[in-house]
Amino acid sequence: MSIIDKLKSLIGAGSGDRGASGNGAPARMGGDDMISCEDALRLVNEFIDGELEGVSEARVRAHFDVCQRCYPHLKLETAFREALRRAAATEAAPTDLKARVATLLADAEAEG
Amino acid sequence: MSEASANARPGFEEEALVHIDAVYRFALRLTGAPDLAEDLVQETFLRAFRSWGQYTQGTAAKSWLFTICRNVFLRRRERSQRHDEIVEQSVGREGRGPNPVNPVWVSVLGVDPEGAFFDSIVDDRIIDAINDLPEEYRTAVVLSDVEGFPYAEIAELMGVPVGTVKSRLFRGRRQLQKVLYDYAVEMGYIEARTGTES
Repeated sequence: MSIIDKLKSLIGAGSGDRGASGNGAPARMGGDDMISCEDALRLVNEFIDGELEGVSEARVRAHFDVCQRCYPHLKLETAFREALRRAAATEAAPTDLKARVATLLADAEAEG
Repeated sequence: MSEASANARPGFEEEALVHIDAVYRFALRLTGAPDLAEDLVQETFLRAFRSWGQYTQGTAAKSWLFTICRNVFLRRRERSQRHDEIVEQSVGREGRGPNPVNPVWVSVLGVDPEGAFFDSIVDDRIIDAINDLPEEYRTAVVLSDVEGFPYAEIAELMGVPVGTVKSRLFRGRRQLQKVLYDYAVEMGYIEARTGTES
């Protein structure tokens, strides 16, 4: 999966049934299973980066899936990441640089 | 250990040279200038080539190359000028830690909840904003958000604990988000928030 696809899957692009709980309060699903808004927002970057510790991705996702207040923060954070990748991950080394490096390495190899 | 006669550096092309685009991008972010970046890339690959024997095949070659690249860059910078050290602060210095609510997103939410303003910002402006970050933040953000390295590899590469990587990512991202948001407001890509609660 590409990083962009992963970002899309994190924000659940395509499913439009979010925020059913109304006025921003997270729905109660299975009682104490739900992490708090504060925790969800604190973990949003580790969640996107796949670097959560001590809490499962599913639990964090479950919060963003139903919380109208926190979901937009996840959405904006991923829009930001996509913008960075779009701008900075596409540059390639100039062809003449590649040629120069090849020559440099050939010379180094000849020297032993 | 005897040197193989035909090809003294087996696997170098397939494992190391294939990362030249990524190393060049990283060098560009570090130096901020194409000519300096090209020079840094040449030096990086030359050093990598000469020490290929010490590299353990099958481990993360990209990470290894980035480490060499950054070390060469830092050594050169040390020689040429003193730089402003960032004050290393732990994320938790305000007691309970930084505000988990991103103030920039709070400003954006009412007017552009999808973050469409990012699409209006040209690539060069985003790259300028990255280049303006202090090196420690810039490197962490580029390695994580652009090149997709895991925290542990970034920590090893930068020679700092994972907690420091997280702190640098947090600060670097927030700074970048603020700069890009301010720019978008200035350019009229997004409406400024008036300050009153809606």
